[in-house]
Order: sequence, then structure tokens, then C-alpha cells
Amino acid sequence: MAQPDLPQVSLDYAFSLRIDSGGRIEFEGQMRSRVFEPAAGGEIWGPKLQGRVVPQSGGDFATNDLTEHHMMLQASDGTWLYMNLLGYEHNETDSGAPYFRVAPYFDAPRGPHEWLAKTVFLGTGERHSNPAHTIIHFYEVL
Amino acid sequence: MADLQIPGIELEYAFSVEIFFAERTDFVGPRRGKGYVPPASGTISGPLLSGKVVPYSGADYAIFKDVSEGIKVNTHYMMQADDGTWIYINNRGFLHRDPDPENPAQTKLYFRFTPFFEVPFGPYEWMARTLFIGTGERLANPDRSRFTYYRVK
Repeated sequence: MAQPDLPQVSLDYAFSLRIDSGGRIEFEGQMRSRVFEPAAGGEIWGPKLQGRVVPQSGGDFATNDLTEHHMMLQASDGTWLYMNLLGYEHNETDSGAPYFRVAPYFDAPRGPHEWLAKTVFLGTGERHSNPAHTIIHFYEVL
Repeated sequence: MADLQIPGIELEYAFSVEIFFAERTDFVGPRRGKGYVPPASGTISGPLLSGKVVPYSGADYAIFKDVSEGIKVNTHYMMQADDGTWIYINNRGFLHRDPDPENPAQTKLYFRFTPFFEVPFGPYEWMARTLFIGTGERLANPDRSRFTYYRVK
């Protein structure tokens, strides 16, 4: 729809993340259902960041359909990064395949990766099996 | 603007919020810097939501280390749709000024965020299951802020 007076938003592909699932713990909590999926490891690739998920450094602490990851990443130059990712897993979709829409926030030390801690990203992802993992593609919100 | 399309993602213009903020307060403490800016009034308009910002129902409780380097936006307040539905918003994001590569003498405002909503069951409950991204602007005469929200499909 044409909205000529609206500010422009554009997205620029930044990197992708594979998170290997280390299992699944779930229970019905006091107010909502709770799922924990530890991150066994994973990989980061793409034009703006390469590296790995630090094994056993966290995982997805989801409640109902709200997904919330806390984990450590390490860039290929050795820099430590923290990621807190919040978003939704859509299970009832037209195509039948569930997918994620997420907003990650990073913390990073001063240096070449500090822009990650000052930038809003949009992530889109999906689950894969054999073995269980999730792939999320991140786009910088310009 | 035309709704942006890249493979697998579609952004749809959802609504705009114009807010008159009260005076800003900020301080630096042992843990970090904290800002406090409550909305004095505001209006919401657009294809997916119209209504108002509930005055003084919350604030931007921004986080920063050195305010001159920019802030981490962390806004909590209440909105009310035209049909009376209460909507809680938590807006997270960044506000900072960066060098403008196209115009070295100037700086460019980076003001982007992702809101999360809590909404009762009913016509607006989809907002509590939908990711949005937003962009903010400062407007003059009168001095106010405008937030434009896009639904991520």
C-alpha cells in the first residue's frame, strides 16, 4: 500500500545462525507452559559475522509460543558475544510448516563487533530435524 | 512506501504513534545510566490500529552508559484502541546519532526498535503473537516523536 509520507525501513542481510538442539525439557508452570532447549552448539556464517555458538552456554527459555534465547557466541576472531533473542514461533501456518519471527539483541566488547550491540535486527527461521536444529537468518534494520 | 519484500519476509505498514513526551530525566548510578521520559499524550492511527496512548501510564526507562553515545530504548506504557481495548507495549531498541557517510559534516539518527505487546483475547489478540519493527523520528512544531510500526509477515 502506498504511504508516501512514511519513513522508509529497509533490511540488509547480515548473517545466519544454526543452533543445534541439545534436547528439550518442558513443564506446565504457574502461569504458562515453559520449554527449555539447550544449545548444544552451532555455527554463524554470512557477510557480517562468522563464528560459532558456544556449546552449553544457554538455549531457548520459551514460554507459551514466545521464544527467548540466551546464549554466548564467539566470532571467528575470538570475540565473545552475548545474544538475547525474543520472538514468536508460529505453529498454525498456511503452509503447515512452523516458522520463527524474532528480534535478537547482542552485547559485544568495544571493537569491530560493537555495532551488533547498537543495531536492531530482524530474524526469520525454521526448525530442521535429523539432527534437530534451528536456522535463523538475521537482517539488519537500516 | 511500497511494502518491503525480501525472500520469506514481508513488512506491512501497521500504524503510527505520535507522542508528546514530558520532560526527560536521567541519572547515572552504580549499575548504569537510567532515563525516564513519560508520555504526556499520544495518538495512534493506521490501517491495523487506531486509538490513544494513555497519559503517564508508563515511560521510556532508557538504559545507557554515557548518554552522549546514545541509549538503549526500553519503553513500557499502556495504549487504548478506539473500541476501548487495553494494550500494553514494551518497546526495545536503540537511539543514537552516527556519522553520515553521505554527508561527513552531519550525523544521522538511528532510532529503531521492536515492540512486544500484551493484549486481551479479542480483536487485537493477534498483536500478542506478531513481531513488529519500528522506526522513530523527532518532529518539530510542536515538539513530538513519531513511531512507525511495520508488521513482520
